[in-house]
Amino acid sequence: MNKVGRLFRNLANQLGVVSLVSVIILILMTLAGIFAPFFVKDPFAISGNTYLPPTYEHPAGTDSLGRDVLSRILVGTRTALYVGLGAATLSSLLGTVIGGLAGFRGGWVDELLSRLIEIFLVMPIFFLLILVVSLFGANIMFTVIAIGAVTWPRNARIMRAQALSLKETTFCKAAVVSGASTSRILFFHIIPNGIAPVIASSALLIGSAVLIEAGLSFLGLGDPNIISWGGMIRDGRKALTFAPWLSLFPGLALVVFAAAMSFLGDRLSHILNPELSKKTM
Amino acid sequence: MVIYVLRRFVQMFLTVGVIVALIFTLIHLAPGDLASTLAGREAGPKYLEQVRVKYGLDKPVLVQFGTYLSKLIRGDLGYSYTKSQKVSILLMSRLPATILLMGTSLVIAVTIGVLGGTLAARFYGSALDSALSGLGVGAASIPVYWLGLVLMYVFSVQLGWLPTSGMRSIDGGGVLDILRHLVLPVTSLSFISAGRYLKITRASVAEKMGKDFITTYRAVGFDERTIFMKHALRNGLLPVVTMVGLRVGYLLAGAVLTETVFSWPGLGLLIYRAILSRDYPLILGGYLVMAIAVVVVVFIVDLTYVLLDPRVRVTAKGG
Amino acid sequence: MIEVKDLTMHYKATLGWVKAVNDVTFSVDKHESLGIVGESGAGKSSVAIALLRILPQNGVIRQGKVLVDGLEVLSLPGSTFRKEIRWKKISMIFQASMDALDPVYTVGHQLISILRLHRNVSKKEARKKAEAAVGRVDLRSSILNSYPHELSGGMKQRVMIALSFLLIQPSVVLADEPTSALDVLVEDRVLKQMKKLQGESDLSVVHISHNVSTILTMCDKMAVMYAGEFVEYGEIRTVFRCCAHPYTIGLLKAVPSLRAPTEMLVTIPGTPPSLIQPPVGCTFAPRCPLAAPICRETTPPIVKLADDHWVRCHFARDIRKEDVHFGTL
Repeated sequence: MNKVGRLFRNLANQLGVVSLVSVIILILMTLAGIFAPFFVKDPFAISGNTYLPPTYEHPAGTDSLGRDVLSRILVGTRTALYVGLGAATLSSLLGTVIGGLAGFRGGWVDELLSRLIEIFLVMPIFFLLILVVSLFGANIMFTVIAIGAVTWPRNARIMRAQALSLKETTFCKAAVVSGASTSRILFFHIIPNGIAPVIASSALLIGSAVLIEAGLSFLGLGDPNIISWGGMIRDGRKALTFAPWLSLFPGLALVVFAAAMSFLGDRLSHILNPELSKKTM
Repeated sequence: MVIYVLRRFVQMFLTVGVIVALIFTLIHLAPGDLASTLAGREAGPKYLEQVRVKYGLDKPVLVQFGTYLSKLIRGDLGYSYTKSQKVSILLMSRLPATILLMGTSLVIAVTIGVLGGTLAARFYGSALDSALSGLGVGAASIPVYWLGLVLMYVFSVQLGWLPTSGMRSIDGGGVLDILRHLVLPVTSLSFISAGRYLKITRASVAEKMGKDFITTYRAVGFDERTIFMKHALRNGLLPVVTMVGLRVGYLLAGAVLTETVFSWPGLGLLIYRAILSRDYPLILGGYLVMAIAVVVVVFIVDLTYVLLDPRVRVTAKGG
Repeated sequence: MIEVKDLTMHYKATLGWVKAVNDVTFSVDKHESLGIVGESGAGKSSVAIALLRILPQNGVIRQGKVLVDGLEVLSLPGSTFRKEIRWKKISMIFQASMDALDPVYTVGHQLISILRLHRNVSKKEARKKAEAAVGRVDLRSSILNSYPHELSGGMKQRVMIALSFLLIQPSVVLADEPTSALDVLVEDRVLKQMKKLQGESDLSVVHISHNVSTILTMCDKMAVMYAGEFVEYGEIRTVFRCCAHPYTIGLLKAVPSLRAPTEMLVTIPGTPPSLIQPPVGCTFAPRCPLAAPICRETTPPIVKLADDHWVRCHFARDIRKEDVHFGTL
């Protein structure tokens, strides 16, 4: 038991105060998203109590259809987690494999992929997503896939750089000489050793993906069947003058989630790439 | 060196070309018949056929793309379906508003962000640094449209100091009027961007502080302040130039969202509405302009970096 | 001339205090050079860092006295030390690294700005002095117009040598593994240059290296460092012939001789101890083939074997080179 305790102490020390708080907040939000809908009111329940300001009954007020805002925010957490994790996973999977292959193989494969990565890095991806979503339909799963498909170049670039330096290491060269296939070297040697910065980048990507989806929903391009914080802000906009809480609270949820994710991601990259500045007297 | 510039120039063209081709492909891959969208739901088959011929939709995709490109070279971006105007004219008319919004925000955000990041790096590890970088990360996480709404509520609805939307008041108004309308959108956009630039600057400069030549200069007897200004900053701010340039895309996205919230009559809002109403020539034209703008900015930034960093200059000389 | 007494410097790490330098005492006269030799991690570089007071944030000088030309410098306030001592009295050559010089300024610009920090000369004069300095290390003056990344490793080190020995002419030069990152031929050139410059001036040199042969060629005195302390110290010929500490013996035996008949190469088994929790008693005891119970209980005293030679060992007077056997490769 003591060993587990020590592990936690060590982790806590490494993370620092801010990231620790962020992790706690994120865990709470996740739990709230998963379990809360069983406890709070039905987020889809339309009632006559429209536009109620925050009260004890409805801690975040009600919206234009009398639905409880707090419940909707909590359910919106699920969407955020789905989008964030889904897009980040897809993006890092694609990016890792493609980037690793490009870096390891070199040659025309690398040339082609590098050009592709460059183009994607420069392109305004939000606009691309707006176009894609409006053309092909606003389905949440499709949106997640689209976000993942558009953000993989960032991870690919990181992984490619890792692969380039790793393929010069003795153990990789040994694997090549002993006749291991490209995929074996890639999946058993290069990717496991080079994946650290990709993980850190993916943490940050979770936050970005959520903000992107929220932006799309705000513009009315979100999935009408699910509750999204961005969509809630959009709905609340019409009632800004007399019911500002409708836009305020979902936005706060977004800020807290994205900021926590960002602090955590920054700290992770700090831990995984120790480039602490050495100050001397 | 000249070869390098030329090479980047050609790359620029190719990138824009690929982007436009991508957009074109996406539009034509979309479900639904383009012609019926244009003709309307109640169109009879004969009218539908007329529409098809009129817009060249009866020809194969590659031919359509070819036609588009040939017109493009002549500067003809086509005709907007919804606005009944030449696309090029429409885009030009809205461009200044967006440039005003984005340009002002960029200048303010870069100034505040870089200054803040430099300060944080100078006092790395201190309470000031924690406060600044915390603020930066927090600011960068805020959705720009939400901030816009919050500011709008406080300053327009409640306090009535500033107008809620648009670029001008209904009864005309001069420069001062435009400025008053500009305050809220620019504040929203630059606050968030500044946070991003602060993060970048701090990371870059702090990284340079750990390099060996800093130790050399300390051993040689220079004081901390000179070391920071003459060496850490000079090295640390270089990559910031490139990174800010690369993030022009983010600024553009932010512009769309800001223009939507504040009904700012700019390019972003135009393209957004075009997308919603399936106005394809306008969409294509708008993307073209955006792609060119972003690519040109990156190109300029790249060249500046080459001029500033002696290490890269040598590689560039080699072509 | 430099005198160091009981210098002790520790680093604060997450797991405890790293006792990097403990009670280090030595002196180097004008025209003299001292070589500090030892394995990586023995604390050799830390001595140099402490002397120049360029410790990282987690480094603390616990105690010690450092007299440079008679003046005690450790107790000087930071700004005075920086203005009067750094580079004026003590200079340092760092281990060759890619980034020892700022990559965005030319070599000449950097040398000139460093020179003008310490001497009141015009830019023109500074340039002439810089040209003269790099000339004395066999570099063409055109190098001043180049950027650091355009120079090879050997050229960069020679610039650093010019910077440390010649530009300002301090009293003491600390050379921390100056040739470790260079290939053998270049190393030979660089060391010859250093020796020439040493001879032409009257400064004191402290040469730090893990390479015993280098020290034997270059220095007048030798200090053997193990686990943060000096275990043997003396005139180089005396130490070479009459070395008494088992570690020194092991080190010297590990170097193959060009002239002697071929023998098996000797290694010292085991690894250096943790500096956070150094062993009780003699720090070398865990690896010493002659270790006795007393070695693991009491810290060995400093035993003076001659005027110019002392050893930190319980059995200093009794040890003969032939009796000490380690493992062989």
